[in-house]
Amino acid sequence: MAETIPILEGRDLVQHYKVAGNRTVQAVDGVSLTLHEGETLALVGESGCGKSTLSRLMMCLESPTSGQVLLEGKELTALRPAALREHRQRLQMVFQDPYASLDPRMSAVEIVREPLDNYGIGARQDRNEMALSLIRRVALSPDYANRYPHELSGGQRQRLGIARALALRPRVLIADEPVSALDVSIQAQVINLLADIQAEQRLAILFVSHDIGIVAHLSERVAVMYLGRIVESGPTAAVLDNPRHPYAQALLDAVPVHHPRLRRRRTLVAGDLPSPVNPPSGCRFHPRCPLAVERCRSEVPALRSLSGGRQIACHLVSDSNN
Amino acid sequence: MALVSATGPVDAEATRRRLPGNAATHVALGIVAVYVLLAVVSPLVLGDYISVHPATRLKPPSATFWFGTDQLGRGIFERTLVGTGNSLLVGACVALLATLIGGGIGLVAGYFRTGEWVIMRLMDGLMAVPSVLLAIALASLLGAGLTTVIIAIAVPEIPRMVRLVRSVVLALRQQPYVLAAISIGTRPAKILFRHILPNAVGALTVQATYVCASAIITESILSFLGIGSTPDSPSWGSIMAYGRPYFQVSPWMILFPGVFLSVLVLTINILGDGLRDMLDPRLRRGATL
Repeated sequence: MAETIPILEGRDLVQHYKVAGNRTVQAVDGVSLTLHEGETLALVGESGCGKSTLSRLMMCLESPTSGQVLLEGKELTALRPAALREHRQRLQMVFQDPYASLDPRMSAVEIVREPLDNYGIGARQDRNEMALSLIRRVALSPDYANRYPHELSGGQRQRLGIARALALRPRVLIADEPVSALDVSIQAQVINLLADIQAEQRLAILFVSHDIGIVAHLSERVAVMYLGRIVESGPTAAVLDNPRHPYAQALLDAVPVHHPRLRRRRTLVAGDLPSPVNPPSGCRFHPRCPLAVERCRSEVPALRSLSGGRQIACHLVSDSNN
Repeated sequence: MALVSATGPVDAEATRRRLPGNAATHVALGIVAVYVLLAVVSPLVLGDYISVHPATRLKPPSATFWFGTDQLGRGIFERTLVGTGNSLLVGACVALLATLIGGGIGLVAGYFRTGEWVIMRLMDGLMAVPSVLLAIALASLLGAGLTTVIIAIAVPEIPRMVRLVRSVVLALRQQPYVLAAISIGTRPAKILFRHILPNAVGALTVQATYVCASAIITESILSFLGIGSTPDSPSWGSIMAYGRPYFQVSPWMILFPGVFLSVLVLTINILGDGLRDMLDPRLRRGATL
């Protein structure tokens, strides 16, 4: 799989925001990601680690400080807005807040119709029908077609957001915490809908989440992010069963287990996520890491490949002590 | 008329049918309608309000002179009613000018952010010009008249509108639905008119009605100072100016135009709030269910 051209690739993406007082927020600091056709890559990490910034960068909704985004080998970050627009059809996004991402002044059918109008897909008079079939595809009743977002439930809104993203038949879908704003009972519906659509359309999905349970269910590969950097990545089953990076271990230990006898000994992480304004030197996890040694404070660990398609950024882990 | 021009084509009847509640707005709409009717009809049906009748000067309100007469024997009733047109016209034109020019500049400055700094400094400069002084300067340049009054009031209002619209647009362009529109390939101009403008209409409407109301007051001030309309087209401000020296003996010269002015300004302000609610689908109950 690694030999084929990735459908979506981020190379050394860096996003630093200037903030008041001439300081810099290092939201994303040297992240590379690859996403292959039909694959689901989950990006996990705690709040504030830069997941959303990374997904906006991959979506080309903001320009990175440095680094590139490539869609099917074509560098999008070098394109002017008008040229970029031609490539957007193949790269779509489902947003975190299903209410705020829908224009309150547009009805459901207008919202789904808009991408079709933008790219002149289908004959003008057929587009309402096309929009209605997309609405049906996401298991919404066409009776809701003339409703406004505020008249829909959270799950209905998010399904509308998915219908809009699917309207252009994209190859890649970036889903930025698509269910975190929904009730648990509704989350499963939306997740299953995404899984169905993926199977049907061979869609590649970059699934951003902080919910390990959903990630385990949905993704083939997972990348764990900490404070703007990827610390570990690999096949979902391998990473979740046997996390190697101390942060990934702590993150997984924090997941509730459904049976009390199965409860593991917890590696708890002390303290809060440090500020990305002035991140720790060396390995960014070292102030909270139970295993940190002197080297971790001074030297930034590179993301190294291990066997089994895994990658890790930690001085203390090598393939031998597997 | 003041309303429609300030907010674009609002079908008052359709808006009302969609909204069963909000009695205050309906009353306000009714009052404005009465004012508009008075402005249109009174110059046509009322008798002479220009020529001087020394025999009946300073008469108190009576069956013959409903609002009394002024120091030249002219009926205050006729002059006040005819003055309605002057006030409404100035209010509507200033609101329209400020909304179109100020709103347009604000949209572009806030969304495209090209030349934003220059535009905003220019606006700061314009905002420092007091409308009364500008009116005096313009009147000596162009001669007194309605156009002078409208320009003089509109110019300092435009920057206020620019600032408001720009700040609203700056907030709206960060909305996830605008990012979503970019990601589904909506072109910038369409984003501006389809997503940003409709969501800024509420703020624009409210500001336009305030501009309208304050323009009506400023027009009265200018007329009061004698910079406004010519004597043969009465204005509430000039009627009150004539009444000022006689206030203690014949207060009706100030009372009636003053009441007309206050009620109109209050009504327009109430209407602005009500219209914002009507134009917002989230606040418009029972809309399309």
